[in-house]
Amino acid sequence: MSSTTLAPASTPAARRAEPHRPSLLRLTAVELRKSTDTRAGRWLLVVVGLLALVGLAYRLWNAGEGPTTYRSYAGTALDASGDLLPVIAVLAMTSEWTQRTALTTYALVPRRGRVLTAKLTAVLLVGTAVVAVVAAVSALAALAGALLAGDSVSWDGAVEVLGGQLLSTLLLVLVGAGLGALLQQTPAALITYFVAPVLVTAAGAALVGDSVEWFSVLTATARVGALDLSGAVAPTLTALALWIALPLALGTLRTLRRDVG
Amino acid sequence: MIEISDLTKRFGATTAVDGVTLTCRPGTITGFLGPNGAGKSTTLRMLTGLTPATSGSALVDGVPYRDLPNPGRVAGVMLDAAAQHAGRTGRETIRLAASVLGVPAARADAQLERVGLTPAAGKRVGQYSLGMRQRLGIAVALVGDPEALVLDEPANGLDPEGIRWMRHLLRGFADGGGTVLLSSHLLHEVEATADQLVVIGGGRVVAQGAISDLLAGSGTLVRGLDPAGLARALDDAGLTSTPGPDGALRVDAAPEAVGRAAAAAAQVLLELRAGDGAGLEDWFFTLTGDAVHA
Repeated sequence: MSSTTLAPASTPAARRAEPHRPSLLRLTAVELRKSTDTRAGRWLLVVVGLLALVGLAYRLWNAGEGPTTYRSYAGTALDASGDLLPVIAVLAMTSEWTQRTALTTYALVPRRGRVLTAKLTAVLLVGTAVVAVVAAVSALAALAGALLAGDSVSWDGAVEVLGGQLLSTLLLVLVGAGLGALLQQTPAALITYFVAPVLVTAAGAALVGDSVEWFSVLTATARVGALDLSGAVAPTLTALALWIALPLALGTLRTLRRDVG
Repeated sequence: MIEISDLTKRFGATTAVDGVTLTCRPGTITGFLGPNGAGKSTTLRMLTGLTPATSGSALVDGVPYRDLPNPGRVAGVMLDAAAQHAGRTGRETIRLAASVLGVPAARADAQLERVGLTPAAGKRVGQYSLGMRQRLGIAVALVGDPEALVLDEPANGLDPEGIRWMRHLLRGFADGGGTVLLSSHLLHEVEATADQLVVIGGGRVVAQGAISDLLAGSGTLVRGLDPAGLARALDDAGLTSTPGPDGALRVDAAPEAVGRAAAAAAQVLLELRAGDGAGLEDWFFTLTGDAVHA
């Protein structure tokens, strides 16, 4: 080990004038890095990519059964990868507590609300980027499929399918973020994210039938994904408020007040 | 530089920290000493805004820590070296901190070099030993070029070479005008490193002051070729002595007085030293034991 003397460089007066607080842009960039610079984060992205590829492989395998449409390729790939993608959002919120890095994160940035804002922004950006990449690869796969099938790609409805998938994916990302912020523990938040929506929808449908649309996030995101809220705007917004706004609000409060130890 | 004033923390019916007051001036190392569970970590967490205080105040450079725009540039903090993401490399961990602080990545790499972690920088923190995590934690605390360091048990997990290295690093930092507040439950380590001591037990400060003042009067340990003759010599000089370990004598006086008494009686001395370890420990246990049982 080297032994060197270390001394603070500038005077107190000069120092007080200088360092500004880190901007939201900087904090968001840091959060983006944090979601991809760990072994878990990287593997997650790899698996999301693999799932999309599996979806595309399935389409390619069945190339020729029906017309080659971009809709089917992109839709399958995004469906396959879309459920796992929000895990990035869950981890962004929970790993600070489970890995205890909150001790450093909130010592460096005591205004915790700014960190949370940066985390939310970062996971939405990651979600958008992943959807964009999958959309691009799906286009290549569709072109390959057209070659295999001997026809040409129909791009009908490409914008709708991408727009719908992007929106529903981002909504699920927000659900993941909200549950993560609220539960603040990785296993609990992940299990809740995967199990609760299905459980609530199934139990709800059994108990109250169609009224389940008022509190089922699966129904709400499916509607948004299809870009069709006709006659169901109020139930959809309510379900989203219940599964996104409420957990995020409670989770934020919890994070702001929590004793970091 | 660091002013803690009547800081209190209650968890329900338990008072973990009870009206702690202490001040750290620039250029000094303050040892915050106490047994496990005494309230040291809680106090430091309140100082750094991680735990809300029930009452009292804690100021860094005249301002509550949370109100500093970029606190890591004023006070570098290391509260738990184990609180690092196991799946991230050491280099990435410190570069992230540098990024938040607005400091170039080159400085992060320079700090890694200073703490001797450059060879291991590309490995995941999960593969680090506790000592390596401790060094990484110190590097992160220093990367913002702060004026103060707030460290919770910085010697934890370090081997003797590491402990000496840490002491040298902190001494250099303080000598350059920096302020160090470190907590420890290792009496001897704090005694060797710190200028000022704040002893805490049961959430309350039980002793405070310059190390030399607090530990003066802990006596002298002396061992002579002729134990009985030495005892007589000390008696003749009016110095009270009690038998110590291994045939040595503990004398309630400064080493000089003991040496002169022995010389006056032509007694050959084999060992003469100040501040016997057992005496210090007794003092520490008395102070903190009373506080715990109070």
